Amino acid sequence: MAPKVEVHEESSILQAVILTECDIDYGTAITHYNPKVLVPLANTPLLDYTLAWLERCGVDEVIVYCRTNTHTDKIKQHCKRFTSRREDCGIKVMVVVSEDCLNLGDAMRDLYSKSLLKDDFILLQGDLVATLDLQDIVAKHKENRLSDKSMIMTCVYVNKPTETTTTTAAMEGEEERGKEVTATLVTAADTGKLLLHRRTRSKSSKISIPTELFQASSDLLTYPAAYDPSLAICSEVVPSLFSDNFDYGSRDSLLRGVIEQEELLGYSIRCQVVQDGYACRASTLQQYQRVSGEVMRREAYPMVCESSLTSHRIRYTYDPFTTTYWEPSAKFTKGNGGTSEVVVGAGTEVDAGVILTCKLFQRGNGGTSEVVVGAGTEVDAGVLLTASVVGDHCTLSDGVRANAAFIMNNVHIKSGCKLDHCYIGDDVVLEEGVVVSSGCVVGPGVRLGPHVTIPPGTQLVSRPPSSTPDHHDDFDETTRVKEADPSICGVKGKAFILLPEETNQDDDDDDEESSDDDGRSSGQDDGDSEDALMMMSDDEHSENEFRREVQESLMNGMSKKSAAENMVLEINASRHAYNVSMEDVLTTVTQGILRAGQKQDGGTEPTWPGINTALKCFVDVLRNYVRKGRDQLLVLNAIEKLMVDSPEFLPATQKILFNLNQTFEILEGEVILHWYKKGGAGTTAFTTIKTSIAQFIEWLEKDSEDEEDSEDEEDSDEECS
Amino acid sequence: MPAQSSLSEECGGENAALLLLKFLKIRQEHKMCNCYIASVEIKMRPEVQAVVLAAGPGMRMTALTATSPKCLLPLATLPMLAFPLHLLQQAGLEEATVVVAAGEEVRVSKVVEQCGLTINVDSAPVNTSTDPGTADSLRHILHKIKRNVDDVVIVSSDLVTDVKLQDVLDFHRAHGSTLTALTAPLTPPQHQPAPGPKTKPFTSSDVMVTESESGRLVLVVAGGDYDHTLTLPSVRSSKAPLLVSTSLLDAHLYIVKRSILEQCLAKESACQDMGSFKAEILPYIVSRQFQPQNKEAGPDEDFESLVSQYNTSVVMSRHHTSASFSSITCYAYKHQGLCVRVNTIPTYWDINRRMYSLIDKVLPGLSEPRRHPSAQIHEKAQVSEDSVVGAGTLVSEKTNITSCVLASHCRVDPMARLSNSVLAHHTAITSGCVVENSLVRASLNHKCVLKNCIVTDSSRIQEGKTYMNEILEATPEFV
Repeated sequence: MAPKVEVHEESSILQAVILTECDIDYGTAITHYNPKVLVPLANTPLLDYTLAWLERCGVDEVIVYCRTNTHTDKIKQHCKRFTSRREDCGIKVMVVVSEDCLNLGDAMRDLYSKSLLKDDFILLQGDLVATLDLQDIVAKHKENRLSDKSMIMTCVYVNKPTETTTTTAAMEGEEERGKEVTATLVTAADTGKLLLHRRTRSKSSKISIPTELFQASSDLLTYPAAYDPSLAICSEVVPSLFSDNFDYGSRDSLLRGVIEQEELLGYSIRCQVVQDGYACRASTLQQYQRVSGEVMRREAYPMVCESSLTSHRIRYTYDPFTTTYWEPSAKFTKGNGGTSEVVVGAGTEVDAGVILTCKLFQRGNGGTSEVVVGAGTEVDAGVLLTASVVGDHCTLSDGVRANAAFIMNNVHIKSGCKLDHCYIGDDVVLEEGVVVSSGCVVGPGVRLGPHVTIPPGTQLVSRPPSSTPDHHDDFDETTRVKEADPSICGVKGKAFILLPEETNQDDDDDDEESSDDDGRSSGQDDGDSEDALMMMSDDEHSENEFRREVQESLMNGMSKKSAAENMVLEINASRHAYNVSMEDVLTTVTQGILRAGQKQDGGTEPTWPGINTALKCFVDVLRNYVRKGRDQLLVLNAIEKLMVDSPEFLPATQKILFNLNQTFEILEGEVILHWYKKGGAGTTAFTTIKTSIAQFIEWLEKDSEDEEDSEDEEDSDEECS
Repeated sequence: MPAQSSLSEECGGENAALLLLKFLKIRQEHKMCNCYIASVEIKMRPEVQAVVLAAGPGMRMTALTATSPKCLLPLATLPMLAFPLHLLQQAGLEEATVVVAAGEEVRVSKVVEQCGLTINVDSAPVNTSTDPGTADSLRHILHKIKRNVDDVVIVSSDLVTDVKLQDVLDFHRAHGSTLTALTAPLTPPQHQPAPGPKTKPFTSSDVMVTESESGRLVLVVAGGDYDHTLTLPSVRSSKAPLLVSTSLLDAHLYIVKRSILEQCLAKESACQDMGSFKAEILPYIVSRQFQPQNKEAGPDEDFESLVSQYNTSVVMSRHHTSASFSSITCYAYKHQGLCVRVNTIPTYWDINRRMYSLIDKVLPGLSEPRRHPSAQIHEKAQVSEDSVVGAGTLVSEKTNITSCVLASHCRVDPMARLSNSVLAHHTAITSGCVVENSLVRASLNHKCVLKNCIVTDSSRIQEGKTYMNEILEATPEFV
């Protein structure tokens, strides 16, 4: 094929851009100390997987793009270490640092202005672990570009069955996140041109295809849920397009812009849906766990745990029977106890007789056997490890049980500890009998114990982050740290609980997406929900109009005793008509219900019986809108603001809250306490409310101590996701 | 004799093979003589029954169907109906039920002997005055479908294809399909323009959604029956990409499980008001695939639920992609060769013109020569190689015939010039006529020039006139 060769000569350099500031983070407890791309996955930093893969695919130059923060030097050093092994023959890694890069669009604009990108380049995120045949993909891209000049980008998707999502305790957030990494694609069957790109919102949603697409192509190939590894082959047009359009923030917004304005811009995007090879982003901790397991199961071959990706030497001994890996210097001491506890039939004797067990199918599909043990680590007899990674120079004492635990370096775990689906940072010391529940992140340097149980989804750090130099200005403001509490971290413990507000980080994309997307889920509005509440919408008029309509619907519904579904339908119709965000809907509905109770009673003075009947009537309507912890806070704030406008509700507040908490179980006690402690929505009415509900709060506090465990479990869902 | 009595008791409706087995057993026990064996005859149970829908009025080609039923319109020298019948015969079917318009039974049953086919045709007349749809026709002949067949092949009389029906049947069985539809890429006519006034091509095509690898049908929308958006059902079972195609021709050849067909055509079924099989019943069956199973099902399904309940060793075959035994799975058989539905004038024209090259492909084994031996072609006549001349046709001297189809018993008088034209049976062309790119279904008794015309009434032709892009048909009498 003559033209292909010509192109290859012409563009001797194949570039790749790795974005280290990924759109989704692991949370401050980890990323405060270590950048996400340097978090080890199976004892190898994530970035190494990407670099090794690009190197193998013949990429000549890699631009590692990061923001100026405390981690910049770490990344620079790491890249230097990686390349120093290769002398001058290998891959060239260049670290580009920018001051004010918030998203992919900014990075592209910056690189464009620095004119570092010469030709087609590969754009990817730093948390990608992949073994796709890039050369093939790039060759196809170039071929397509020769035949179709308007084609500017090839998006790579992986069409793999995602049924393998192991539903384990910590993976409960999986479904919610899963929809962000898959997309519904509609392409022209003959060319592969992308005609429709939509983030998959829910698992079983039906796909609707605009029939006008038939004019573009008579045959459409539709991928209901293709996995998106955020990988694209871009032509040099892409960065210029980003710099022409300052509103393009993410790749999704570029896709939408190019597809929608195809006639105007004259550009098109193709996609390649790859069937072979592995590609998965360790975007969240849930994904991290999944990718870790898949790497240990050698799905990312030739990137396997036993060979170092930097030096290519064999660092671990690999036992294919139990899928265990261990560094020869790791010590497994022989003991007499513990072995009886080992699950029958799946143990393997290693070195001095310690048993690394594989629990095969112990728990439905959740059971896995993969274990990695790093250099100089001492593992006592009777230690039970499943699906876990242990870093270098750790000690695991007798009776430690770890399932899907990711233990970094220099961690000392004393006997009797139980770890489940958690991340343990560097230099952590767990004293005797510490139980770390699923979804927990124990930050570096934390000491815990003895004999404490960390509730699910807790994030622990060793120092209150306010005293440390922060790297995310906007981020740390929203992070509140409680004082070290011996009842939580134990007598010898030194840890602080990080109470994460929902981060603002991943909202960049969503904000843009929401403009055309009515399927916007309430979960993604969280970041700015509070601000939106405080500031109110600019368009006061439509807001009021909407409020009036909702009130009307509620009054009608009450008199007619309409079913909750119909009410929700009516309210949603109004919502779409006035383009009101979900949190405003919730506020309006909450206030509307209470007001409905007042009006229903006839008098101007709201009385408890009237409110109570209204609440009873609409409890299902309200429940429909309250989906997670954030929404509960919104309800509370709405009630508070109602008091500002109409203080006559004040006497009934305590009863309202009590009923919402106990009778209707819409508000969790935990949430109410949290809301109460941080001072509500901060309006003037809060002080009066505070006094009026003091009794209830006191009762709640007593209650929560008794029921801590059960409530914490419910709470964990939102925090670990 | 005890053996005889027990035998006669069991004769009531039992399967012949089973009966023979029992009989053998009895014979062994009683050491009976062999003479009984000879009296039991085993006949192979037919697995499929064919239904040819030939009652269609040909609404999209009224200029031609005014004088002759659509299924008897000649394609080259053979009536259209011969093509699907031949297709069935090639697949080894011995019998076909042909639904015809009332009054045409005799002519239809003559087709078989006329074309040298061996298939038995059971013509079922249907009253066309009420304009029945295909589903109505099927309901009409439902009682003729034998209780013991597995599948019913429904084929339209206007199908011309080179597909091997046996392949489609094999595909149907191999996939455990409930309904298999024959599809092929939609190809524009090769010979354009068709005679007659210029018409806009028929645009709104069907939408067929299939799983790209397996060919499983996910959604069928008949021509233009969609809004701004098309909603695909959620297919949870597989991640396979879906091919949404508007360039697939639904060939109107369906293989349907008898049970499901009967369910759909039954009086109390949800389809009882549906008139068209393709536009209504087919989408209904396809959409049923993704609906939850309703419990109150037929006796077959009851049996299957018992099997699955008590027989834990039952392993799902690979055909069963979804969890339930009684689930419906529909497939599209994608044929890559020729597949044309002759239901419009352009397609009719196109197929006629191409028939010279197609006849071996679409009628393999049926020896219908391109130039019939009984045709008398004058030695001084110029007839091009790619012309088809039917039986008993008389071509006089000094004529020039290029790329034409002359059906049987035509007469071309001296000095006539024909090019790219199609003549129906018993058409006479008087001397001196010039016919180009025209469809002639009535004798030209006067000297004239025809270009791009359709002639169905000879009285409309006037001496010495030139006609272009016209349909010359009998004017309907409004009294």
